[in-house]
Amino acid sequence: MAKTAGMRLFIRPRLAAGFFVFVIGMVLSVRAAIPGDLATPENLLDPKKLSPEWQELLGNLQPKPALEATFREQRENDFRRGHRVFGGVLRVWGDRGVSLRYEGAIDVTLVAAPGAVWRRPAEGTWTSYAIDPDTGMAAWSRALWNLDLAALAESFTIHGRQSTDKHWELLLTPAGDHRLPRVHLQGDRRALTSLEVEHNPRRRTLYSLEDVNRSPDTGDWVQYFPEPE
Amino acid sequence: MKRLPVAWLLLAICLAGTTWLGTRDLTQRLSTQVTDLLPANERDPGVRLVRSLATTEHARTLLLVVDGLTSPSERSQAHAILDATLGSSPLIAEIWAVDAPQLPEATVETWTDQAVAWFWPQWWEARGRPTDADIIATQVVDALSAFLEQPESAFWEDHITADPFLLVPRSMEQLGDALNLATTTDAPGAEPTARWWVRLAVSPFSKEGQEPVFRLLQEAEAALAKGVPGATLRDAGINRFAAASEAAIRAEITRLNLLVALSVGILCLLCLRRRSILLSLVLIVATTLICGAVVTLLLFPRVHVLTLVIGSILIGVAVDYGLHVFLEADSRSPGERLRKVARPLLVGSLSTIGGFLILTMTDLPMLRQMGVFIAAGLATALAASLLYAATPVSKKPVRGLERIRPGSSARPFFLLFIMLTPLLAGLFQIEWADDIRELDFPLPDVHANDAAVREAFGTEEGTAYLLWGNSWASVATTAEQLDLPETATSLVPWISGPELVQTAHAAATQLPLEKALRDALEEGGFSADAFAPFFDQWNQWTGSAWSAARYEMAVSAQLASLPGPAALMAGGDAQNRWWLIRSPHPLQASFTEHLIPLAQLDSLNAVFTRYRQEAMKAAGIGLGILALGLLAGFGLRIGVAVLLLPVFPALLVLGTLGWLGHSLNLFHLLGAFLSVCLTVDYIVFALQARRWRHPLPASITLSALTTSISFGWLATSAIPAVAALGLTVAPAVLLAWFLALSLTANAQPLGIADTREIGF
Repeated sequence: MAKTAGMRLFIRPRLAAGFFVFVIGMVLSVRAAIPGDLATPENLLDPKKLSPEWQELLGNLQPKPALEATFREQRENDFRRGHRVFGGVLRVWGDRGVSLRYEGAIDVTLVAAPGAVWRRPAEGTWTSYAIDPDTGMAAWSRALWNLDLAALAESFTIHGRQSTDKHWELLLTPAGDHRLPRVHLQGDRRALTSLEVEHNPRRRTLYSLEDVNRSPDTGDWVQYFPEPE
Repeated sequence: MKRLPVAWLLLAICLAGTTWLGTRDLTQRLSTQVTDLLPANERDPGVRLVRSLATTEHARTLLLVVDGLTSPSERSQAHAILDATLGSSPLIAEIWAVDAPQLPEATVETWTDQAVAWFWPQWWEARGRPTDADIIATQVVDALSAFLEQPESAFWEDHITADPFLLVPRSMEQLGDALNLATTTDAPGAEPTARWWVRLAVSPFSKEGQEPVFRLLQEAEAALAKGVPGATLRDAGINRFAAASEAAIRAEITRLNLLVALSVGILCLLCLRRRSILLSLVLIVATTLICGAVVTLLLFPRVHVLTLVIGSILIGVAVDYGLHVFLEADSRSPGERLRKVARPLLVGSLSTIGGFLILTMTDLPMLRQMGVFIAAGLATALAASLLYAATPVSKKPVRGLERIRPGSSARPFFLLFIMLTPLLAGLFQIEWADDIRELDFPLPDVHANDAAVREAFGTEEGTAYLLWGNSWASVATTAEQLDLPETATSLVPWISGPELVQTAHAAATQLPLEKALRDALEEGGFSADAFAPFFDQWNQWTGSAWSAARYEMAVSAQLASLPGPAALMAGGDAQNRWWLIRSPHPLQASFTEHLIPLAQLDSLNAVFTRYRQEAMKAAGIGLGILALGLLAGFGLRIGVAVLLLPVFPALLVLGTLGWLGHSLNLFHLLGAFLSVCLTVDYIVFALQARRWRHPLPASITLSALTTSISFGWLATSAIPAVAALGLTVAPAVLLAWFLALSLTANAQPLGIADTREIGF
């Protein structure tokens, strides 16, 4: 009788052990990426009463008034095995919002602007995207990418901590509306380096940033945002 | 009988009537809506549907424009402020940001929950009605994989497990035009626009839909100005028209009634020697108006205020009867006066009442209400006058009027009328122009503001149609046969017809889709178990039987789920369902009875023309009945004279207007009929005086003056329909009086009373 793949695993214990370690690792990477010990009373942050350390750190991190970085976006869902990866250039520009220029096979720009999400293919015009809900991207991402804790505190409870190795992290937990995501931000003294958005137990998105430039030349940025001044 | 008890009786009636009126909710019982002038059971389906459009959700729409914004962030702020101030109010049901519309989450969830039943038949049809489950499964997984490679698929990921066919994103694209979902901007240099579509939770015709809403908008504008300096708010909606129209019509009623009352009062003061008569006349008029209003409100649940505007002529007409009684002062006793006055008064008044009652047989609610109001009022005036006729009156109560005499020969009068006769040729030059707008109060400022706000929303080009039927199935079936151009905006691509749904459902029940799709999903890198919400939905749909009733319920639910302006694209009641279709080009359809162009004005004007023709028939019947009564009462010779002599001035006025090139409408016709009814008694009294060789009774002269003054004031009304009525009746009454005067030529001075009964 031909041996099935499952039987072969039991026949080769080392292979089986390696497989289970891999699976457990995968599960942990999805389910335990947001540290459970961050949301403690001692880590609770009040944006109106920030310590000098936090004030200094945020002053260093916030766009002035723009920010540009390359980003990697990893999407994970319960309905699809593995994950999908997108990449491109992220631009944060004051009140204009956040522009994600996706590059690669599909060249499209999505902008979370005040009041709406806009989309534009490489060759085409801006179109508002009517599916982003009240609690969606347009509602909170501008404050998020600007690290505007005062604005975020209107919707989220904020916990944060800084470590001695210049690493810091923030955890945003929905204050009331359960439809809001849970967001975990991490970075160093120079920049925000990763951001994890847990939309719900079945879906999350991980962003990692590189080449962060907090004083970019915004001269030609009009093409990345739908409505210039 | 003495005059005092009669006065107390009338006063008691007035008090009782006023008390009853005071207990009614007149704001609800009196209407200023033009649509209320059309019958609710109008037989023309187009007008019936248009009427329902004007009174249902379509009328609850407000359009808002914010000016003075300088940046996108200000628009965002403006949106937040309006959302906070308007969205929290119980007066507002829905706010839709036109420039950046967002589908409510509840809508997306409803569509996703019903995706298979509502949208799968179209998906199946678009792919050539496949019957192989494996092919369908492969197509679904391929399309899903490609979709998830799009960055914007993130917005749908929470719904994918219930909708792997991507039915909801597809249906959203189909609704793009209707919902203005695909808002685009050619970004460089574009000014941020800020427009909102708002649906009121209350009727724009109700009290709550007007002042409280205007106050709410003021509060929103104040909040806006505070949050975004320089921002201003403009709005347009039916409630602005309703409120302005109501205020203007109420002012018009007050103005006309006041002018008529003052004019008639002053005239009576000048002509009557005894003030006590004036008080009696006031009582008669007050009782007349109050009883007319009470009877009308008893018979009609909702009365249009135009009825009361035109009804103000009651003052001028009702006072006539009293004058006939009080000015018959030469009679030796109340009994003799009653004997002398009763017959001509009864003939004259009953003919007028009969004429107005004929109006109650027409279809137009306003005419029916007017018929009842004036007939009931005149019946009251007649009764009150006859009561006064039986009371003693002092001699010679009138001054001046008896001296108006035509002289010894009627020849100059008849020559004058012969000279005027060619004007009758103008009757053949009459151009009828029936325009529903003539019933409305002109509101240029409100119209200008409305046009400016609508301009900011962009003009909708093309023709709008109502596609109607007695069920959703019949509407959808007709729609499928329309072969609509792709540029047309409608719900046709969004709602499947009954034949398709039935066939798709039958095919789906035979498809082993779950197994095939599970296999394909697993092969495509998906976790099939995660799609349990879809499989549950699929099995529920295929496991239940198709029926026509179920189809109707499903379409009703589908339409009820539409948010924002798209909700206005379908409607109706249990008997009549309709969809709105907007096409840039005229639609060529052979089944035109189910496809009605929504040129609302034309439809209503056509109905208005029909009402005029019906009114013309009613007037003809009324005149016929009047003729029979007069012939029976007065014999052939007098009867014909009494009938034809009042008709002549009316025709002369219409002929003159026709000759002058004045376009005529229903209300000119109505005025002509009215003038005949009003002046019959002039001719009756004139013929009686002629028989006795007496001068024309002063009461007729005073009556003609008061009536023509009343209608003369109506001719000054800003409402074209009311003005048309006044313009016709006032000269016709004066001409009839002139004719009556000519009949009494060669009269003997009063005092040589001939007490013989007139021979009719």
